[in-house]
Amino acid sequence: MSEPLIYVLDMAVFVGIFAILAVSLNLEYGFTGLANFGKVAFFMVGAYTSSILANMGFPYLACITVATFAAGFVGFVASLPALKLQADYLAIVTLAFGEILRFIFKNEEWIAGGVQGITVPSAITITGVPIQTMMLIQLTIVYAALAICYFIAQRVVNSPYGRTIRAIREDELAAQVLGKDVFKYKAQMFTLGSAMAGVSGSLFSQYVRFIDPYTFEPILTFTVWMMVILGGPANNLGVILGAVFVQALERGARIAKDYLLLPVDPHNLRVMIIGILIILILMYRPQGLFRESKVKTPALEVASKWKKRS
Amino acid sequence: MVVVNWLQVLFNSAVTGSLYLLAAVGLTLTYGLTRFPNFAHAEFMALGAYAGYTIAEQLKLGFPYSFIAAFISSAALGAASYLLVFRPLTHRGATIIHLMVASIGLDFFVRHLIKQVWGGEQLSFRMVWPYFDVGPVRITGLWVALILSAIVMVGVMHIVLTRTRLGKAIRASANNPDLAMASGVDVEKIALVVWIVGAALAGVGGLFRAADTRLVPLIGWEILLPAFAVVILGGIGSFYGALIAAYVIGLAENFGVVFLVMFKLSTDYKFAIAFLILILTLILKPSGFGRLFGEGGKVV
Amino acid sequence: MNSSATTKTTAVLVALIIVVAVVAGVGGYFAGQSAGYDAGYKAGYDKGVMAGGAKAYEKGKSEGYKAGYETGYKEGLKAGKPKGPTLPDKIKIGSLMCLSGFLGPMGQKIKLGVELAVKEINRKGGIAGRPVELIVEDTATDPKTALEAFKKLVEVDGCKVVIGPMASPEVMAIGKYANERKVVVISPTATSPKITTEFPDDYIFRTVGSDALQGKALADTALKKGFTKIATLVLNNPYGIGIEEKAKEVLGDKIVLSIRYDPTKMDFRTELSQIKDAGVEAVIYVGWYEDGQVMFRQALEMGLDNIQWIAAEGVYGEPMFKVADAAEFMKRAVIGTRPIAPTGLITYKLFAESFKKEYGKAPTMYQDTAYDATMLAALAIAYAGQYDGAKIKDALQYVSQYYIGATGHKMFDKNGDQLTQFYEIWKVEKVDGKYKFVGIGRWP
Repeated sequence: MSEPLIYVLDMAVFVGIFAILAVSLNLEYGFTGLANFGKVAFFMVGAYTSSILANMGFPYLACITVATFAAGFVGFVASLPALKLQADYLAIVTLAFGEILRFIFKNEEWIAGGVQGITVPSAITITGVPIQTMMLIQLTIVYAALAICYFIAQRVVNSPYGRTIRAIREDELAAQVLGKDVFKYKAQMFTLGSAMAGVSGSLFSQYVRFIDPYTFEPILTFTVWMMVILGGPANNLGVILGAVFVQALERGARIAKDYLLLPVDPHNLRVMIIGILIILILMYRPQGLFRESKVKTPALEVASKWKKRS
Repeated sequence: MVVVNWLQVLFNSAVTGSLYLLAAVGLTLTYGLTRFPNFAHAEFMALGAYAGYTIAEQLKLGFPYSFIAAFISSAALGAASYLLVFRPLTHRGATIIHLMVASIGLDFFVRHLIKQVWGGEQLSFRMVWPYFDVGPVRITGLWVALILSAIVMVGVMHIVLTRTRLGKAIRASANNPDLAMASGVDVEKIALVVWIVGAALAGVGGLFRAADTRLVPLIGWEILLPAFAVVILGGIGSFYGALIAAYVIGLAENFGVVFLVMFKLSTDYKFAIAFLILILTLILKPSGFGRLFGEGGKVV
Repeated sequence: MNSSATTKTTAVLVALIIVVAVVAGVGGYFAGQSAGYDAGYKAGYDKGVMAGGAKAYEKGKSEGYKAGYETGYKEGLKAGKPKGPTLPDKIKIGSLMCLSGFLGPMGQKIKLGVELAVKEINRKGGIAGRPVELIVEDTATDPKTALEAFKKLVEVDGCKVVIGPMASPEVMAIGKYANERKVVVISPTATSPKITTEFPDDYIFRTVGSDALQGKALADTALKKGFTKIATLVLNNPYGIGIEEKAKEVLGDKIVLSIRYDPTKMDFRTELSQIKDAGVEAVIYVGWYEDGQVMFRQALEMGLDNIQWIAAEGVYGEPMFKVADAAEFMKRAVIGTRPIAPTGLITYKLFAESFKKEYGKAPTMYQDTAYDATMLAALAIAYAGQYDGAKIKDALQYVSQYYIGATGHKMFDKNGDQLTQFYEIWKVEKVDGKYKFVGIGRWP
């Protein structure tokens, strides 16, 4: 029996995994203005850490926790030299960093199978349960993680801290003059973003259950960027919708080709559409389809109540 | 004991370096003038290579014509990119990150357009180049042509940059756009010229890479990161810096292979060498070789 | 011809006759029914052996096989009677192919083998009178995309049998899901030995031998020629490394230099200089057409044509001759191995004729294994009589015992791997200005 529902659930899981990545990139780029073109590196660290631990027999909770810290740690270490650089340098450095890391995973067989890849034992094994139920369990785990990441991201950006990082994004010098340790804030956001990417990587490896170095090419980073740009930087809900849109377009093209007769290869068409959309959005609506979310703090709520009364 | 024919490795480095130089010159000039790294530069290379292929193999007009085709088609794409995408974006106040992301969007679009037109299948030039031994060194006609093209390009660029009004205007715009504008230089027009020339040279570079290897839609993207390494090591916007950096990276990659073999490491790491140079340069000395040729590292 | 060879030939002939009969019996399935197996298959078998097969055995000539095939097929048709609609009205067979990405050019070709098989089945009336619908999905030579496309085939289209995917990492990526969803996967090209160890005894099958065998074949070829200083030059991917490791195991310290390369970078001059300077007598080479064309051309340019190159099957095929320098280099310096069917197989001739009629050109590498994979899938569905993964899996094990396809006897072992695999040793010759591959020996 075919189960289109499973395909929909499958898409939902991927949307969740990518949404976490998009939220994490949004923290770095959308709110702090850091151009991280090496997102995939931290996703990869999370995925590999989690897979190696799972193969050693650790329970999944331990895998994902260690993966989160490992990716966060690598992010922290990488941020120390990288964040002193201006935006374009940072982009190129992180891109090259991701590639070097991938080269290491690819060529050092003793780490995790090298080019042969590594299979991952399933975290949850319940026998005699239909696959739909298993999918729902997966879905629940992924969306729970997404909810936690979203909650943390919202708390961070809607705090005085969040105002500071936005200020850094808008005018680094001004923030510095105000006595903010710009570098410290940037490093903290980069570490947090990397840790979230690690969560996502761990979930990904656990769900797909086979990873190899070819999965982590730079294109993955750019896919996440598309989600953030389309959804609207500095709007956490927006970038999640961006993730939904990009995934739906990808899968839609696959199904559409069975029913439509196009003179163009639907895969090419899809990527061309995304390319054009990116340029158009940056040209006519650089704030994204959804505008930057306003800062929500208790003080602001009180103030708006006061405003209404008067 | 590993025996090494060092002269051959040196010559191989010159071949690699010349290719990287052609690929990177346009990238460093546009980067210096319009102040952002253009990822769509990869497709300037790819389009030149495919246009050259159409002329040489499908229309059978020969390599010299394909040279011209690569030059013109990439120049047109460079002009279109600047006029239709990047200049409007700059006018609308796009940030450097916006410009970078837009260039990736443009790259995706052009690459898949190429794929749609020429197909994803691997194509190759049928030309056969003569080869001969000079002492212990093996040389082929194509490699000589590649190195000569790079030398001629360097010579012409040098004369243009130092002896002509255009060259002076380019250097002035790169050094200090405001001052240049104040003294009557149309900075945007200069930028357009640089985009056209840079893209055209990339097209020629792509054509050489295609003739040396084969044609796939990813042909430009494959050497974009090494090209960035050249740009960064040479100092952004620095023509002479890029000239040195291209050959330094060519040497590093080819000698890297020798040492990787000696230490029994995977030779696949040789491409990581360029990336490592890139990262170290940016962290230790972001101006690269640029300052060697004048203050500010922005002297073209 | 020595006695063991004669025995072997006889064995092959006997096997052939059985197969002719089975094909005949299967004609019965295709024409009419699935549950009519007893009648159709047995009648076809008996009649086939009696009428055509026996004659073939005596004469040992192709007419005999053909007669057996025809007679058996007709008998099968007559005997088979439809019995109950246990199969769906339209039988879907999915296929995962690398239509884009690195293996894209190869995937476009291999797809033809699958399509040919489906066309033939449908021309003969489909499986038990039900037409076969083929749904091909692109994996972009990427494991993640392969898994996504596989899920689409299984969940949206409801396929229970999938031909492909091509690359070993793709098989690794979809293996667990296939087992969970009980979907039979038959890869015509994935050769990594790791597939056997990761997925023993399950839904993953392949109609091509594991690289563990070919690595040994290459190493033995080098040994036989008496080389003592050998370099390996392989793709840095599971295909290359699988063979490299096996070759190292056999050759030990005869291998003095090992180079792995990235197929997308293509600037191989210094790697080749290193091989030249090391003074080796032979190079064991593993690559695909795409990088092989460039590698061989640069090898010719660097003057490595005075060393013996021993290549795996990745560079066996006409596309290599598109680049004149690569073709010339192969003529001068390259011999190689490739998996083949036992020589002179009539089933291969029939396949090649049919292929030529359909596409106007001779078949190349892996189009035959793809054809066999699809045929086996159809036979298994017919034999199972139900469109059910678990049933088809068991049926596949069973029918493979009797199926001799384009690439020979396709019997699976319990891991779903090929029980036997022969390799041909080939070289390249230039005849009348045209390059062509010539067989010069066999392994084992």
